[in-house]
Amino acid sequence: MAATNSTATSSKLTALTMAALALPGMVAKSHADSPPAMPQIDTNFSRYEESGNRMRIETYQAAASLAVGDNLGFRVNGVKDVVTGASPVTIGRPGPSCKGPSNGLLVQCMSGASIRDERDAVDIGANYYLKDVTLGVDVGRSSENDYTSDFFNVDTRWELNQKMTTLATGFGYASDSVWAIQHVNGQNVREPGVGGDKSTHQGLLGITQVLDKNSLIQANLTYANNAGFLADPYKWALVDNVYLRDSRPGSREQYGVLLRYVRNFEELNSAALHLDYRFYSDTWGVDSHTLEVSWFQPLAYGWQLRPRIRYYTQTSADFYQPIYQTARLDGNYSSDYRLAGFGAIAGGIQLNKEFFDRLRLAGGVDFYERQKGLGLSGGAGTKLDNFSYSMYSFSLNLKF
Amino acid sequence: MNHRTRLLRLLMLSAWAGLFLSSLNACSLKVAPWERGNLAKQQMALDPDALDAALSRHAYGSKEGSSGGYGVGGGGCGCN
Repeated sequence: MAATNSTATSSKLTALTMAALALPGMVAKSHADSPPAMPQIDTNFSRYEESGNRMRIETYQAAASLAVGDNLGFRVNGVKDVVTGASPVTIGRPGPSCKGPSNGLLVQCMSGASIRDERDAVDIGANYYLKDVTLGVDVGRSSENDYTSDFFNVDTRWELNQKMTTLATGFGYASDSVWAIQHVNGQNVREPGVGGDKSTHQGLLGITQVLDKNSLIQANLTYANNAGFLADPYKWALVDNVYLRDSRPGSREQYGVLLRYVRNFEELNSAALHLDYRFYSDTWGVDSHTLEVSWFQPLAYGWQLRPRIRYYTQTSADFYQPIYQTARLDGNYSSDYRLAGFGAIAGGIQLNKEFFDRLRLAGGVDFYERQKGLGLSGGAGTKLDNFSYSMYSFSLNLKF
Repeated sequence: MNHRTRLLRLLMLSAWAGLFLSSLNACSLKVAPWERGNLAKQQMALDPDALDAALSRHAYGSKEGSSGGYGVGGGGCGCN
């Protein structure tokens, strides 16, 4: 774009540039370092379905953003999940108390297709925009029939070096309560003595750097400290032929390093390549590597195609075992498939179209394959926990 | 590998990333505001579709033992 364009065009370009340089903020938050140019509504519907008639989740999500004056922007975000189906409870021995996929020696015990839950979450955020600094705050609540979470976050973004560099800091706090529900005579009854409270403190340091007129890079370091009841009240572990409740350490520190690279290919109709790599490590012994590649290909008449592929591998937690032959001194037991060693490959494609610079419609599908054999990191685990899921999503974005 | 070794590796990776970005900043050519048209395109945003990205990361985080990296915030869930 020529330097001699009008002031209005330059102003618009500056706003768009800041949007492109935006840093990570809160979950589902718009990545723009300027107030929204016009009121906007974003909606999304998705259907998630696991293999083997396990979990099915329908998610309805909506967000609205609005600017008030030149320096203030508000955003409200709501999510509703409708969850049905069955979930793994533990790995056990074949027998009447454990029904599910089996390899003859071991069985993946399932909860039965009795789960029905709804999750409602809402959060409200505000951003205050100064010349080079943006201050953000966000508060929210998420509730289910066996889980509640109250949370708030604050973040800052500081643009310097003629807006070629952006430094970000973030802090988040969440206070959660979890318990178990039993179905008795068609009623949900809270199981006494099971569950507890937990708190989470999170922090972020990030830097985004423009490399040239076609590329930028970002590096984030995140830390989270979880304390309290961190076990799963619905899961069990087979210890020396006795089923014991899932029990985990009362604290967990999590570290993550994320590196992102975005590059524009002008000769390919301004297609964009996104490369993400994340290294994760925590005090439970879980290490993971995640690599994700996305390609955004603009087509004719406002259409855009976005394929992506993702690989994930993790080690198992120190205290995880599919089954325990003997008791542990620390009393920690978990056969939760999410703490096992495994790998996963995911991929998906989305097609969207923009109308009149105001309306955008999108539809996409994603597939996820989790297998013990895909893991490169090692650790305990069992093929019985292998599963896959598909997720179909449709979204509508409207600017007024 | 114990936790101290993992933490050391993590910090070294962070330091490497910081040094890498600093060196890029020190030696890169300035990009004038009027040269940033490509960077301003929607597909060049770090998350061009924020709701879609949040949905995918929520699904991954519910089925894997890792979370974080992309930001802070949001509440927990009883996802199984």
